[in-house]
Amino acid sequence: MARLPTALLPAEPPLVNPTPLPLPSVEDAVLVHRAQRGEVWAREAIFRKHVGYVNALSLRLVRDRSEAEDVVQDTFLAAFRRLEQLSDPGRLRGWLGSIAVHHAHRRFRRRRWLRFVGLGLPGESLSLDQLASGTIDTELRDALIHVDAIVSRLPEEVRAAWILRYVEGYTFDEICVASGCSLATAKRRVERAQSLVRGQVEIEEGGQ
Amino acid sequence: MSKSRLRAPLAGLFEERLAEPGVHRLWSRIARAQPKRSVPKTFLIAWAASTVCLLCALSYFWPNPAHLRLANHEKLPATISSHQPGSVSFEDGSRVELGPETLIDLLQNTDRSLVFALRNGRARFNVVPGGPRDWRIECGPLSVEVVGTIFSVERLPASVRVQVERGRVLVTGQGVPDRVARLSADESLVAPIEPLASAPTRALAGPPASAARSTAEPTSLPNPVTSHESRADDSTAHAHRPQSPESTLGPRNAGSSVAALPSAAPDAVDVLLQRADLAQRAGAPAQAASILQRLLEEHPHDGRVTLAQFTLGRLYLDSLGEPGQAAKYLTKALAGGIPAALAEDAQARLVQALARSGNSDGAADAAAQYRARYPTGRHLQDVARWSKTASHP
Repeated sequence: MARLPTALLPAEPPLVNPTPLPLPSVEDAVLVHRAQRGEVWAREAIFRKHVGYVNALSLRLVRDRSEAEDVVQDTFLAAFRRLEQLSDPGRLRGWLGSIAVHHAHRRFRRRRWLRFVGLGLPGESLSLDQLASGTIDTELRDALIHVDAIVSRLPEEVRAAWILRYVEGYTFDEICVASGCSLATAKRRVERAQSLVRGQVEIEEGGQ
Repeated sequence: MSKSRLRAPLAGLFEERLAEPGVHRLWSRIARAQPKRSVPKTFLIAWAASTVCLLCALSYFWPNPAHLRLANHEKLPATISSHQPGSVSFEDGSRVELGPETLIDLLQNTDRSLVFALRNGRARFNVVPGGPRDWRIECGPLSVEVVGTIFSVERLPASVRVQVERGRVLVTGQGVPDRVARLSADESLVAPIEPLASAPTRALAGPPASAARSTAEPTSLPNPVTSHESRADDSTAHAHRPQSPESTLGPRNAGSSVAALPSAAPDAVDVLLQRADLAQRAGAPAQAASILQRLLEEHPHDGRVTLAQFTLGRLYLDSLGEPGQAAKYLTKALAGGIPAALAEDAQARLVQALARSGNSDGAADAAAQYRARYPTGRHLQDVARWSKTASHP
């Protein structure tokens, strides 16, 4: 049988994907809605979209890559378990951040307990300048080194409160909710750290 | 030196992107850790409940092919016989003690039931309660059904005697009043053995029942089922209830029944026991006592003498108001080796009888004996009270 020219063959029907994978521009609200319906791909999409932020936040708080990965895992597992409780899907990023802060504080408590029973081991301690982007200029990097030299000596909860305020841009209300402390405690912790930082580096609070 | 200057928030200074291998590794960990599919709690509860119900139903109805075996795991023989007293133990802990010249046939042995036929002699069954099998003993006209108890079945020439020491049994058969009787601890029942063919014949063509009874021998006791006039004489197969003298017969009716009973043959201990029991149930304890005393005089070596002495003690104590006599018979019953199931009760009643008769020393001694033999006995409080009453009237 003579073969028909390719141009004359009937066109193949287009592949139909009943649940097309979302493009990066898909809004959080849509992803959350689909994930709440039990669509696994939506969970992965949420993870891929926000894992960078959660991982960076965790690293800045716990300063240890291995522990930060544990925090990321715990954060997303908890988020997927409680996805139904997310009342405003548009605030997914902040919600994930607050869960990550909560799990970071659990890590702090665990470290304190291990130190108390004599099992605390000195782990990795990444400085702020090590975590900074490679594109920032030397002056900014020097400033981060100065800041880190101060905050690295502070208690973990105090340092975390300062990072949430001046690095992540949280309001005091958000800090006290994420850290599980009172508003006064959140302010006191931030002020304690900032009073030390202020002597070395001047930080402008823009837009917060 | 001028201070460095930064503008908050500083997050923009940090790298946020995560390399694909890191993303993949983290997602793999999360995908492994998170549950595949969330199942509603109500569904889980319903599933668990239905599974439990199913297992219960299966465990109940699932056939267990294992038949009861002897304690040494051998199969039960079709016939158990003994010329001398002996015993047979089963793997579930139950035990049958055989009297002399006893013959038992095994009729059925399944996972649900065990049926014996007592052809001759006497057997005492100690059945472990809570077992999966219903035990049934066929003996002449009677069937004794039991789940867990201690009881004896004795086949006599003219009758069958069932005595319960512990637990309850259900006795059914032609000779049982209303065809069925439930016997509890310390109760007994005697039913006549009659040739099956003769019963309807006598009912249709025989002499009046009372006339037949007046000359009856133990082997020709009237059939309570076939004769209308002999309704009161259903007690020829009756429950002997030392603990509950209340009667189902009116005193008037009972009095005539007692009079209509056959005079006892010299060896008819059972008939005497029946008559005493009937008199007791009819509200004539003095007559019952005289019948039992006659039994003691005529059959002083019979094995059931201690039972008669115990019943006499009870009658004198509870119904006739003669605690001294009661103490005498209870002492004899205890000395004669009353069955273990009644011994504790007899000892306690002895304390009461001695106390009421004013013998405080004797009551104290009997109470001490009771406490020594039954340190956790069920009459401990009563015994202490009676003993105290005797010492401080």
